[in-house]
Amino acid sequence: MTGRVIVITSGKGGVGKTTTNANIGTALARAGNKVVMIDTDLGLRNLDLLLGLENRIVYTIVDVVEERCKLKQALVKDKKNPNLCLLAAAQTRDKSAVTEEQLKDICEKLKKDFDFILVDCPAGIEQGFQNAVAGATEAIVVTTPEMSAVRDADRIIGLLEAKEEIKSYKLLLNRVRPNLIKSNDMMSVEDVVEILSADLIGIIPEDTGIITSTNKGEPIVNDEKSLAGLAYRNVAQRIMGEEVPFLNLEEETSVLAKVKKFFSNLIGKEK
Amino acid sequence: MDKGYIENGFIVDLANVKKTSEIIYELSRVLDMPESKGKHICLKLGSVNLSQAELTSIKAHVELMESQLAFISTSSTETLESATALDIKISEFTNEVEAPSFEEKEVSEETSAALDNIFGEESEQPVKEEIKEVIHHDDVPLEQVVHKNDEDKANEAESLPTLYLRKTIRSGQSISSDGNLIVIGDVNPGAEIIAKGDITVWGILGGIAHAGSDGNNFARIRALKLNPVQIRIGEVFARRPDTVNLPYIQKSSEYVPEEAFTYKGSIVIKKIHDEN
Repeated sequence: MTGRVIVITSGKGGVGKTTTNANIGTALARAGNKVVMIDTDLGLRNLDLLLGLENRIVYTIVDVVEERCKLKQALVKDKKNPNLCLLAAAQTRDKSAVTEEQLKDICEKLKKDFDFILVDCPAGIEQGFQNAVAGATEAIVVTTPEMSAVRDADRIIGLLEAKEEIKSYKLLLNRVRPNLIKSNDMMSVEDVVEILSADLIGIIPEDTGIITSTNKGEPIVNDEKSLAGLAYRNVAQRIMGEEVPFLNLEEETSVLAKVKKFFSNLIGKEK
Repeated sequence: MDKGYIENGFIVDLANVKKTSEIIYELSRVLDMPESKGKHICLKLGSVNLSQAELTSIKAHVELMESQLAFISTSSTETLESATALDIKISEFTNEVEAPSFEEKEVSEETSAALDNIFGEESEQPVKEEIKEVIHHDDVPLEQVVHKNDEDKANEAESLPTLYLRKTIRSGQSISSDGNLIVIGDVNPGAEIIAKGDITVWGILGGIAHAGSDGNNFARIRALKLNPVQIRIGEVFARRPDTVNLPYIQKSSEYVPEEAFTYKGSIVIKKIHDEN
């Protein structure tokens, strides 16, 4: 088995890298793939919280590179899905505790046993970013339709293009609010794609359910009713090579908007 | 055999489990499932010898998880006597008894999956079987029995130096002490504190705590509120139950101080009540 190593990165913090990682990982595992997620955000780890696995972490990636345990021992299995594992970051150390070579080595070893290795990248473009990217051959750049996030994504894509190992990168647009786009208060999906001239792999709508799911330690892809969950499941399908059309977010407007539309249609007819 | 319990409960088959701590662990995995709440548990034990105190703690644990220990079956006379003394009904199982087999299967799969969850099936992790969830005991009197040979270890903390800190230990910080450790403040989730002797936190302990770090199982951990992600005392290790998903808890003057210690291979948390 040769797994695909995908780094999930963004440059800017707070755009949803870790949330994306947890959800895509869970969705890929639900689809029957063997998935391991590596948290490389040493000192500021969060991925374990999103998956609700904090209380199970005994060994971290630093213990692996410092040979206090075997790689397999440090893999924490998900509570629900036996196909899903987490290699947690150390909370009490900083980015310098792991080198690019060591991460590359870990990815190479994991490739043999897993279909997908998802690397959760820290914010920024320093050592942490360099480490995370080291073992990857594919990248997903997460951004939101905001000027600052798009600017940082552009910088990241530039850095990724300069890396020979990265064969392809895809854009994931997070926290999209169709209502704001409609009223011209938010950059549209097309705008962002045009600025960054990158292929889109997913559009995730803003969803308040994410907050609850994060607090509960339960990825939103497990919530069949959530639109963001569906969008993430679609992203996983696309990663697996299937063609799935993008969700039409515009139709998912609020009841109030539907009522307004109904009335404006009526008035239109009367005229 | 009484049939009533099958209608509102199920059998937990732990006939092959040899240690009390494992029985408690496996039971807590089963009782953790929401469908177990309010059910009558019929505990199927093998040859394991349970003292009255051990059975009391198992019973208390079942009740703590909002279930009831209805019946016990056992092949040990000691366990039988303990159960009789505690007024727990005895049920005689034979292999021919038609127990609701799907329930049994579910239980064993769940428990084995729970163990696998922690490190993976093929893991060679030595602590694999020692990992268990923290047991909360509020009203059951449990006393650590100190054997003569262990008195030195049990009293070791008194002769050790003490590191005294008056601050909040935050996420990512790691404090270790060659002796005892006293923190006047909170220990937040993501932080870890390690001490050779006892640990006392005058605040909420929410991170990882390891007392008796050189292998002293008699060390103790106290806090105004114990809510650790993981807790280790000597060589015993436990993690926060998944049912308690509250990394940050509110400060309150209502908290009753708590103490954690090892009891027959498990870590037990007990409230320190006013003796009067």
